[in-house]
Order: sequence, then structure tokens, then C-alpha cells
Amino acid sequence: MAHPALRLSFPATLLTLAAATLTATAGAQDKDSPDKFEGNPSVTSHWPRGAQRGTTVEVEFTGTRLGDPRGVVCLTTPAITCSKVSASPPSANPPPRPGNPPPSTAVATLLIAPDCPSGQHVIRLLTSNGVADIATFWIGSLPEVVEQEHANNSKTDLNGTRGQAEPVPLDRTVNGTLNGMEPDTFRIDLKQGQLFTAELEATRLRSTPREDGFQPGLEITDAAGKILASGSDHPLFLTDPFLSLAAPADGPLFVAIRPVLPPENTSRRIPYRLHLGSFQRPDGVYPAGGNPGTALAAELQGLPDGQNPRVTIPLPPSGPDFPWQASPGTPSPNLLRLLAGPNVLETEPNETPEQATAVPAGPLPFACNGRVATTGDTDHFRFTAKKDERLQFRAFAQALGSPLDLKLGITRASDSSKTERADDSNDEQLGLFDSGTVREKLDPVLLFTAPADGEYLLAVSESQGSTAPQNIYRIEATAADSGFISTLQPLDRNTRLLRNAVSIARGNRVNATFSARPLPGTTPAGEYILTATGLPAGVTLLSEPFTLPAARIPVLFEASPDAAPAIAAVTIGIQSRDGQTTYPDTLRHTIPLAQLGNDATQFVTVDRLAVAVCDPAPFKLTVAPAHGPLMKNGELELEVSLDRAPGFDEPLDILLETPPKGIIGAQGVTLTGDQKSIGFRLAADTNATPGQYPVILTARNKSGDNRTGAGKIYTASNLVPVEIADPYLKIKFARARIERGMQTTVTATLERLRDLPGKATATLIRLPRGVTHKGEPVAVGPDNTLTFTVSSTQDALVGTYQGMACEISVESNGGHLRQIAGSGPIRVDPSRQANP
Amino acid sequence: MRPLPLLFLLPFSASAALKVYPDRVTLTGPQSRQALVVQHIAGDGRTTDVTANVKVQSPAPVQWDAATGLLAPTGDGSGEAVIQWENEQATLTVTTTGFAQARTPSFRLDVEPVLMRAGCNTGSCHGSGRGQDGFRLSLFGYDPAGDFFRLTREMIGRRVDLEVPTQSLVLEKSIGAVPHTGGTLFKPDSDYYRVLHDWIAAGARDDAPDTPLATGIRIFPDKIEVRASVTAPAHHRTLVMAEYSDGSLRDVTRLALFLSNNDSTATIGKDGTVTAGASGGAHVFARFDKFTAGTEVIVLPDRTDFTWPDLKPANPIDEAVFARLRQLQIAPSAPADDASFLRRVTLDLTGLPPSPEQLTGFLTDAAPDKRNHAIDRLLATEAFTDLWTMKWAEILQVKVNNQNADTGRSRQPVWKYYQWLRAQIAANRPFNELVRDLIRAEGSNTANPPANYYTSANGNIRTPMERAEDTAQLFLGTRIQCAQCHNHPFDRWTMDDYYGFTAFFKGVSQKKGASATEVFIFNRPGQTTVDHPVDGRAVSPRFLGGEQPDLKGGDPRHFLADWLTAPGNDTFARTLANRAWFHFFGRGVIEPVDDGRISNPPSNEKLLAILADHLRAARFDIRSLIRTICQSQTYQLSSTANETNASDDRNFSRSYVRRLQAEVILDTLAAVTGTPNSFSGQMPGTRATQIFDGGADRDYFLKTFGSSKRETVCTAEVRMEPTLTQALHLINGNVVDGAIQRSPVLTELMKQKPTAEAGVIALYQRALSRHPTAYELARFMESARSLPEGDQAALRKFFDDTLWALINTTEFAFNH
Repeated sequence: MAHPALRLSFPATLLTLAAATLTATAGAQDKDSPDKFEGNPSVTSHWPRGAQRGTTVEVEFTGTRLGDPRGVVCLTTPAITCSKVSASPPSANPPPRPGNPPPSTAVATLLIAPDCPSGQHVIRLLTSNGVADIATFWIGSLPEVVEQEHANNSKTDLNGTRGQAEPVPLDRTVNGTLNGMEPDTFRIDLKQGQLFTAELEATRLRSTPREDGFQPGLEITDAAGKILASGSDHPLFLTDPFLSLAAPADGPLFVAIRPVLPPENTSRRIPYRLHLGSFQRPDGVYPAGGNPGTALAAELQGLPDGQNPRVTIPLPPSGPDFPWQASPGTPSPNLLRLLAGPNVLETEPNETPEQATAVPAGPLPFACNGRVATTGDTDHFRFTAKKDERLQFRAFAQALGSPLDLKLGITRASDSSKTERADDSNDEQLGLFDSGTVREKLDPVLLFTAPADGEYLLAVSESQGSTAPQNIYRIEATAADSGFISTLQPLDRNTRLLRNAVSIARGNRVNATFSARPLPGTTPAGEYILTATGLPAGVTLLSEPFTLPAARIPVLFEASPDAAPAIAAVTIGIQSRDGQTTYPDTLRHTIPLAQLGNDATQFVTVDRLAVAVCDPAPFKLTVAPAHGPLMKNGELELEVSLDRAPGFDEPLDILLETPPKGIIGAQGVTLTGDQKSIGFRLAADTNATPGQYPVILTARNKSGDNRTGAGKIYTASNLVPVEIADPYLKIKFARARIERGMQTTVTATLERLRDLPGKATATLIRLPRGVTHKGEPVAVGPDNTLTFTVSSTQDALVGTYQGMACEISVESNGGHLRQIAGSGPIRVDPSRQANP
Repeated sequence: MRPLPLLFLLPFSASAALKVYPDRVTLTGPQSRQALVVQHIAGDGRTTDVTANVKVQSPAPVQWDAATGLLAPTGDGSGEAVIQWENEQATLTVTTTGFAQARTPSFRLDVEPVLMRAGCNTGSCHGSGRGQDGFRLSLFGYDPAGDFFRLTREMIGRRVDLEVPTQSLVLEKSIGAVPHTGGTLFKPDSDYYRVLHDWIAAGARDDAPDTPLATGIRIFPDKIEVRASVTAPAHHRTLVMAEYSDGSLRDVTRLALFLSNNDSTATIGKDGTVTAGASGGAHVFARFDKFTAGTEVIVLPDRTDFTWPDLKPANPIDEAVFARLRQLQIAPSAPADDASFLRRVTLDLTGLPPSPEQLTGFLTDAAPDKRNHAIDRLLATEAFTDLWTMKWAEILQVKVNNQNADTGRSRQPVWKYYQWLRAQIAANRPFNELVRDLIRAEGSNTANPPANYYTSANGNIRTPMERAEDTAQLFLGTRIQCAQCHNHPFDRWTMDDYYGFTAFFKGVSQKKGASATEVFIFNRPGQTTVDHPVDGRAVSPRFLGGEQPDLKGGDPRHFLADWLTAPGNDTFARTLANRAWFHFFGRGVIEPVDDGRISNPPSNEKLLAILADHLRAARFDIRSLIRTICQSQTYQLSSTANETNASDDRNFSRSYVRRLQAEVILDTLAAVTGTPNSFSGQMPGTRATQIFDGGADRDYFLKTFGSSKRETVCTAEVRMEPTLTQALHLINGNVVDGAIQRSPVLTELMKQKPTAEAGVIALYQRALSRHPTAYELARFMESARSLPEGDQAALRKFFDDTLWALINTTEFAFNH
């Protein structure tokens, strides 16, 4: 992310621009031979990892199945657009592993608008077959150069020592790679006293889980080799360092980037972006926010020579996040927050409730700003609240790059016996979904309802003994956040990489599953549907109504046969079913960037979904309407038919990816190459709730990578409503026993709960081993009694068995509905003729 | 510290030549008995048990049975008894009371000790967690109240039968009257049977709340010193006295359990009689209630021609070691020669062999204190820091666990932990301060690396119990694990001690930090007690064997860290000193170094005290202690044994031959061949001793040679046993062969166009740090005779083979 604290977002005013930022290149050609159906593409690396704003840059994507690229979309800003994309000649090195598709590359020309926000952005490449893995792309303000060692693809170290240092003009961003763990050294010529900052983006650049991490160190030395500054991490960027100093003399300084801790696999080249400039690099701004549209008098922290310059920062009219650049060349911005209402600065001393800094009385919101300077320091603020007023206190410290682990406590000024506390926060409080590890969760959020009119004390303290003077914080008190949020659910819990974009084959459908819930300040009422804004032309979204919160909402995207290939950054909204209320921008989609062992460790949260139209898929799935209802504890078979492209005979899995509650789809249903149709069985729980439910089936080719989705082709069926109904019959068995080697009858009485739609027959099921139902299924007649003939083999297992049941098959609309009914014991006795 | 029991203050000696244990006897009730042990001490300190041959004359009404060594009352009275043996005599105060009335046995004082002595409550019998055949007792009697309940209430009328006491199952099983898996434990006419029977007959009552509890025991005599004899091994009785909370003393010899820590030197029978074996030193122990006490047995060689060699102590270490050797009549080996010394000390201090230049320089140096200079030079090397960082990284479990980032053991924090540890050792940070940092650690495990002390290498979040056990084992050399479930059977730790120590760590918690691989360690305020599993009582923090601190709301770990690392905490200094000693001898003064307990005393108490005192005096400067150890004659003795010390393996009478640690072998191989090793995930040029997260998982050679997996705090995780795989790996594996093939050392040697003989000598110096013997050289020259004249390739092959052979000698992989 541009800054660890920033959720990637772009202003709503630019929304319309975001919708179709695709530039399609060579006219899309329909696939005509089966070997072209190669499935979803995969991007494993790209270069360069960033660019200067206001420039045009060629980005090379490397991966598999990239031979027919169609466009690039940026999910985080409309200021990055793609003007051209083309396949580049396949590289002979490295050769593909046996059984793997050959590596391929695509080159995209990206235009970076001059007003593009600096920091991390997320881009995705579209090919004729689908949307590739996300890639992060970093925008800076300085002109870019490429490290010579990298440019020459040198196997040997060219700039490992000061003597070999590569000269770089001041105010440049170096795109380089560390090779074989040799240091890279650069020479900058400076004037005495000149401000010089080296800021590294290295661990932050990790873009795919396959990229291994390492611990970079930066070192600035003078011509004599004296170390002037060094570091390997900083709270502002965690594991990426920056160094700032005033040049001690006229002449060169040397900046070395070296891994202090190598990655597990040292054979890969590890990319970095090193910003070398005269820019200011504050590690904090105090106060970290103010009223929108005003001028903020602030103090910058962490600049060389220990002085904290005071600056005036013009704040924009709208917020709440304002990524502020201290100087035009500063690569990563500092986060400032915009909030109306009093912007209170702590007045030391405020260690005790009596010394509390007062917040002017008035309506919400307000913000309290302070620093935790010594161990055990507790800052107090005094505010007033009305009885039953709900206040949301949200702390900002880690979100600002401050190392504080804050704790909040709220006490009534007149009664200190009861304190409401918060130490951390969670996804729900932060308005996120499954966001993984984010440092913002160390910043507490406290929802507080005032028990009475009066004065209250807010106590702010630190729990980890982190007390450097730059430890700034900001607490915002607002009404609870309102609205709804949604996310795209991974269809496989084990891999969030799988299908985190929507690729729709032209003239076909694809399904997706969303979750949605209200924010703490909103109470949902009635039914809602999902909406999408900015879909590529010809694409529609079908969303069945749901109530909130909803864990799994199945939706269907459909692309018309004449839709043009396109990729768009789409907004997902939530709208009441009556259309009265709409929340247009609800998506909070977290995608992992890096993996460590079993855990994803680095994430990006975006509020746009990549939706693309691809070339036609080699198969299309259709499900016929259900013959009748699915009875509780019963089964229903859906007729699935498949339209295959000529020559495509790969086996296909048919899945129910988002089963409605109470419904279980058949497992392991596969259509072989010569099959055109198959029955897909649904089963309902005994406890399922009667009602109408949407069912969408998915067809998926067998080949490809089940973990990453590379090489996979997905299409969805039409949506069929399935009704879960109460059963037709209730069955009660009489006591049953059978002797080994004999034949006997089992009788049951039935109770009709509803009228049968057609003829019904009954068969005994779940009989013990060696015992079988003999003869044809028994017709359900008018007399409410069923008589079954069963026989037993000589080696049937002796004993009493529970769970004998009856399967009722009912004719309905030309099909059969199945209901399981009754449950009773049957006893198997030893043969009386047998020898003792 | 707890007050010293009265027992330890009593004077027990009367005559210099004749000693009677105890010196005061109180017999209460007609059934009470007191064993006496009468010991004659000869002028040379040797002791003889003369109990069977003494006469006892007492004004008090008692009866002396010389065969059993027991005094029994015959009425009430008191007076000074005279014990007579040959011409020696000693006196003893005897008091008898309550003769007219038999005392009813008490459950805790009499019945429980019988169950323990008979083995009923051991883990293999009814002390097992599930009991045995439906009947369970608390293991070693940690829960008397529970035992009372199960005996008397769990199956009413079955285990104890109040109507017909002899039909109580507990009695019938004990004497084998009914089938008993545990067999017959005692006879109906035994005291054990009588105690159980009388207790049942009196109503099988629980004790009154004010029943005195045992507060300590002591085993007598204080010392046994006899001469070994194959034909007539010496026997010596012992006697166990227990003290109770009301100040009374009681002979519990017949209720105690006995064991020896060195059965080859002294065994001890069920009745407490010691039988001398081979010459050497041993300790025998008695266990009663939850207490263990020991006494020393010295068995001198069965020859009398012992003479002390001409060897002067260089420092107090030698004084302590030599005094012990003189006492045991073991002559130390001669001092090691210069070459052996230099190789030994260089490997021990740096994990690398001396270079040929260092060796030659040292051998030709005529300075009298050149050994001290060498020690100082080696102590100042970076390699010393690497080696000692590795040693501590092994037991502090500096290990990466990448499977789950939440545990905080990803590469970045572990690397920081290692860097921090190395920086402390490089800066010679006092070890008590280092340990204090570890125990008090909190906050981010990347910003404050000692916080990694509380993250776990095995991927799970550690429990307070694990943290307490690890801390005790690492820094107090004490394994308290047993006391989690029952009182320690061979030490003084009770469950109260265990949970008191655990309570220090109750509040230690961790949560995700700011970066994915970071965790925060913090103490939850107010969480300062743990529940006792027996009675659910909240146990507050108590120092192990010490006081209960007044926390005043503070973090209990701060109090623990201050107590543990205080110079006054003898156990801490002794543990650190013993760990350092272990490195240079392959054996601690207490061995294993992390299993100090009453039943495992130091092999030389004086030596350990001197080492600990030195460490304290040097303000826990570990280099200072190491310097003193290396300067001692003891360290510089030859490894060649003499007649008297060949079997000595614990008194440091010679240099013990030790296999080199896996990392040291690999680094030595690289140093000898000049071919560097490379390890995945490490910076180029990293030596095996510098692998920050341990090499066991990443290098086959290191794994094969027993590199520590760093999964526990046990020193024993470093495996030093030679195995066939190791030998085969050196002979056939690609490591040695590859290093020789690519060896820049051999390339350089060839450039100098040496003769075969010069080359062999040079390779000997490089690989084994010595000149070949005449025999060895002759054998190599024999095989060199077939080399074609002037054929450089053949000569190189010959040198390759020579070096290969030297690396495959036992000598190469051992320090001697």
C-alpha cells in the first residue's frame, strides 16, 4: 500500500472514469481451435515495479498463458491507464518444467497521469482468457533510472563496493534488483548541508505469494567509508528503512542497499525501488489531521538535525484520508485525517483526570491529538455527552506509522468505578472483511453509549513501552459509522488467490459469491440486492434478494454474445429491494500479496472489483427448471446440459459452489468429453427451512492449477429457483425381524401430509449388509399401508440395526422427486436350521 | 530463603575417633525404636562401621540389640548412655517416655510413609494417573487428603474394614493373602503391617489438623570413607532422621527409600546399608515424605602406594580439583604438550583449528606465559563470539518457524534475536543482565529482540508452565517438570513450588504486532495466580526455594528477574559457571548441566563453589571465567591416562577426549581444506557456527553430526554420539571429497612444489595441528614411493588422499 495506513481508494467523483479504462488492442478473435482454450492466465512477476507520475512506462508481465493480452486495469486509481498491450516473444530462459505451460510475457504501456496519487497501486492484466493475478505498482514523483547491473542482466556484481558505485544524479528513483545477496552501491554528489534522503521500497514491493521476503538494510557512507547513517527498518514502513541527513561536506556520498537477512531462496533477483533525493521524509506529522478545507499548523518529526520544523498544510475540502507529501519528491505520503469539529491538542501535564485537556462542548465529531512521551504516560481528555448518545472512538497511531500500541479507557468524570476499555480493533470495527494482518488492528476502536448526561474522561495510554518522542496519536470521536460493506468471497477457503476477479466469457455466465453486512451505525431492514457500477458494456449482474448480514450471496454475471473484450474496475453497491436506499460503494476486498508458511502475511484491500469480458469459453452450462420441490430430508435431481465447442473434449467438473442454507450439492460430478448432459443431485437437510432458493451450478475444466486458478476456465449455469418443501408423507415402520437365509415382509404405515403431485413408489433403503429389498418398488396406494419383501443371505450380519428408511419417489412434471422417510430398526437373527 | 531446619544445627559429634549417630535419642511409646550408627574414624580419615560390636550402657530403661542396631524402650526414664567400642567410648542422651501407652498410628505420619516405602504409590503401581486395578493413590503421596478419602471412603468397607481389620483389602493385598498384581510387599509380623493394622483397628481416622508435618530429613553418617576390596567389600550402615514441625525428631530409616548416584562405587540396600565397590566417589540418598538427603561415600583404591605427581596448582580451580583427586587417591595426567594445548584451546574457544602459522608461531615462542597469551588472543576473536552465541542460541531455541506467522518465529524476528544475543556476547555484557533482559522482556519481538524469549520455536503459544519450566532449567539448572503433577521424587520441589514459580508467568501474553511477522509480548495486569490442581487454591508467585515477593501490582517477572540474577542467588551463578565448565570438559561439575537436584550433587562441590564465586566476583563476565578455566592446570592436562585415572570420568584428572560439535567439524573441514561452505538462506561466507537459526534443518552434514534442533532448552539436544552414518558420510559423502577436490589449500601447496614428505608434514600440521610421528610419516612415504617422478597430477592425487585420510582419522573429529 502507498502507506500501510491507507485503504486504497479513489474519489467518488472520478468513479465514472474508472468504469472502462480498457484499451483493447488487436481485434479480439474468436477461438476456433481447441488448443486455444488455455484458461486463466497467471502473472508471477513484472518489471518495473513502479513509475514516475506524469510519464508513460512499459511494464513487462511474466507468467503463463499471457500470449494474447487485451488490456490492463488499475483498481486503485483512474490515473493509471493502459494505452497499448502486446505479447512479447517467449523467452527461452528458463525452459518450462515438464507438464507446465511455457512461460510467456506481455508488455503493457501504462500512462500515469500527473495527478496520480503516489504510493502503491494495484493493476491487473487481461488476456483473451481471463484476468491475471494482481500486481502492485508503485508511483513516485522522481525521475526513474534502472540499475545498470539489472539493465545489463549481469550475472556478476557490478556495484558491490564503494569503488564500483553506480553514479546517480540527485532526485532519482532507482529501479534495481539485488542479485546473489551482493550489495548494490550508488554514488550521489551533494553540497555541504544539503538535505539528502534515501527511502527504500523493497519488502513492500512483494506482489505475489511466490516472492520471498528478505530484510534490506540501507547504509550511507562518506568517501572515506565512514558510516554516516544506517538502518534496516523503521516504524513508518516497518521492514523498509529510510535514512535522512544533511550532507557533511561537498562531495559524494555512497548509499548501499544490502540484505542483512537473506531470503530462504537466494537465487532469485529481488526487486527494489530506491528513492535518492533532496526531499523531506518526516516520520510523523503532529497533529495528524484537522478540519477539512482549512490550513493546518503542524510540526514535522524525524527530519535530520533533530529539528521539528513547523509547517502550514492546506487541507483539502473532503476526506477523511489525506495522503500528504511533505515535499514534491517525497515518495510515500504521510497520512493525515480530515474531520469537522474541534481538533483538540493535548496540554501537558494531563496524567491525571484532574489535569485532563478539555474538549469544547458541542455536537460530535471531535478529535484529540497527543503524544505518549514516557513509559506509563497516560493522557486524559475531558468531553461531554448526552444520555444514550452513541460515540465511536477510533484511535490512529499505527495507522499513522507511529509505533504506539494504544489503549483507550472511558470513565464518567463523576464516577471512576466503571471504565469502558478497548485495546485493539477488529475487521468489523474498521469496516473491513477478512483483512488478515493489518497494523491498524492495533489501534483500538471503542463504541461507547453514554449512560447519562455529563462529563466523561478519555484516557489514552500505551501498552508496549514504546515511547520514542515521535509517538504521535490521534483519537477521533464520531457517530458510529453507517452504511454497508461487501466483499467478494473466495470460493475456496484455502486459497484466496482463486478467482478474486470476475472473468466472463462472451455469451456466457460466471458466478461469484459475496458477503455483506451493516456498519455499526446502521440497522438493516428488509431485503437488499447487490448492484454493480461501471460494468463493461454488455455485462449484467443478477443478484437475488437477501437479508443482512449475509455470509454467502450468490450472484451471476452474464456477458452478451456481442460484448466487446474489456476490463473494468467495478464498484459494488447494496440497494434496498424497493430501490429507495442505495449504498453505491461498499466493496472492501482484501487480497493476499505474500505468504509465509501457511499464512498470508501481506495484503491489499481494494474497493474495486476487476470484471472482464473474455473470449468465448469452450462450454456453456444450462440447467433445466426443477421438476418440483426439494423435500426436507429428500433429494432432487437437476438436469444439466452442456454445450461444448467442437473439438473440446476435456472432462468438466460440475459444482454447486454456493449452496443455499440447508442444501447440499452432489460431490464429484464430472462430465466426460462425450457427455452432453448429466443429472446433478441436490439434497436437503432435515432442518432446512421451506422456501424458494436460487441455485447456480458451475462448470470447471479439470486441467489447470487448483490453488491459483491458472489454466482454469469457469462458466456458470443459469439461475434456477429451487423450492424446499415439507415432505409429502410420514412413515412409521412396524417392528421387523428376519432370519438369515430367509425372506420376510416389512410393513409400514404412512401418513399423508400433502397431496402427491403424481404416482409414488417406495423402496427400503439403509438395510444392513446381506439384507435386501426384493422386487420392484412398492406403489403407494390409497390404503396407507406399505408392505415390502426383504430377503437375507446366510452371511448377513446378526444383530439389531437402526436407521432402516424408506425412499419415496414421486412423479412430478416428467421427473422424479425423492423423499427419505421413516426410520426404524430391523433385527437379523441367526438361522434356526444352522448347526449350533 | 527458608530457615534452616533445626536438624542441621544439631551437634552430632562427641569423640574424634568414635562417632555415634544420633547423639540424642527420644523414644516415645512402647513401639518406638531408634537405630544407632557407630562409626570409627581412623587417623587417615577412613571410617569403619562398628555398630554391631558396641556395648551400650544406659541409665535409662532401654534395650540394645546389636544385630539390628536398634534401641528399644523398656520403661520411662532418661540419662547419658555410654557407647563403648574397644578402647573408645562416646556418650548419648537417651530419654524414654509414654511407655505405658501405645500410640495410635497417624495417617500422615505413619500410614502414608508405609505406602511410600512399600512402593504402593509409585507411578507403576497405584500412583499411576489412572491408579492400578481400580485403586489410585497420589503419586509419591502428594495428596494425603485424597489418599485418605480413597482408602476409607471411595469403597466403604472394602479397602479398610473397621469391623474386621485383618480383612481390609489393603492389608490382605499387602501380605499376598489375596491375589495382588504388585505381589507380597511385607509380612504380617512386620512393623509395616502393624502400623496399617493398628491404624485401621483404631478406626482409620484422619489426622487432627494440628498433626505435625515433616519439615526435613538428614542421612547419617556425614561421610563414609572406606578402601575398595574385591574379596571383602566394606559395609556401612546409614541412619535417616526426620524433623517435624513441632520440633520432634524421629528415626525413619525403616520408612525411607535409598538410592546411590554411582552404583559402581557404592550401592545402598533397602535397609540403608552401603556396600563399597570400585574406587571413586559416590553419594547415597534417602527419600522420605517429600524430602531427599544425601551423604558422601568415598571408596579408596585397594592399593596403598599412591603418590602425588609433581604438579602445582595454577589457580584456585586446580586447588579444588587436586584436593579432590588427592582425596580419592587419583593422580592427574601430565600436562599436555604445546601442540595439543593449542589445538584444544583454539577449537574450544573459536570452533576452528589453529592455522599452521599460528601453530608454528606458538611452538617456537619461548615466552613462559605464551599459553595465557594464546588464551587472551582467542577470547578476543569474533569466532569466540560466534561460538558462544551459538551455544546460547541452541538452548534459547533461536529457531525459525515459518509455518505460522502468528507465533512470531519468522525469519526476521529470529534473526533479530540472534543479532541481539550476539551483540550482548560480543560486548561481554554481564550474563546476569542479559538474563534479566530476557525474563523482563516485553513489547515488539522485532524492536525488542529479547521478547523472543517468550515466543515458541515449536509453533505453539507457550503456557505459563512451559515458560516456568524452561526458565528453571536454563538459568537455575533445575528440572521442575515432575512437580507439575506430583512432588518431585528425587528433589525437594513440591507442587506448591512448581505452581508458585509458574505464577510468575501467568500474565505473559502475546498478540499480533504491527507487521505480519511481529508479535507483542505483554503482561496482563492482575493475572498473578495459578490454580493448584489438587485443591484449586490460587497459588501466588514464589521464588523457587525462596520467598514470596510483594508484587504491589507490578509485573511479577520483574521481581523474578531481579531475584534470579542477583549475585546472592547461588543457584544462578552455579548454573552459569557449570555450563561454562561443561564446554571445556564435555562434562559439568553437575552432570547433566541442567539437572541439578539433591540426588545429583556436584562431583566436586568445592570446585563448583569456586567457579560460581569467580563468576560473581567478575560481575558475571563470562570471558573472565573462561579465561581462568583455560589457564588452569586442570584444563591443560594431557588426555593420556595413567594407572590411577583411567576410569575417572568425573573428577577431571585428565583431559577428556570429546567429539567436536557438528558445526565445529564442518567449519574445521572448511578451514583445513580452505573450501568454504555455503548454507541456504544465510549470507555468503557464513560459517556453520554462524547460522543464526541453527543448521540441523538445513544441512545434511550438520543434521547427521547431531546439530541441535533448537526445539527444547535441553543441552542434550546437541548430539555428540558417533554414529555409523557420520563415519560413512566422512568417508563417502560429497562434503569431504568435494572440499578436497576444490581445496585452494592443496592448490597453494602444489604451487610451492613440495616433496611428498614436506607435503605430508604440512597437511598433518593443518589437519591435526601436529607433526606426524615417525611411524606415520614412514607409512605415508611408503605409499609415496610409487609416485612417478615429476608427475604433478599424481602428487596432487597423493596429497588429496593424504588429506582425505587425515580428515577420516578419529583424531580429526575429536578434541583431546
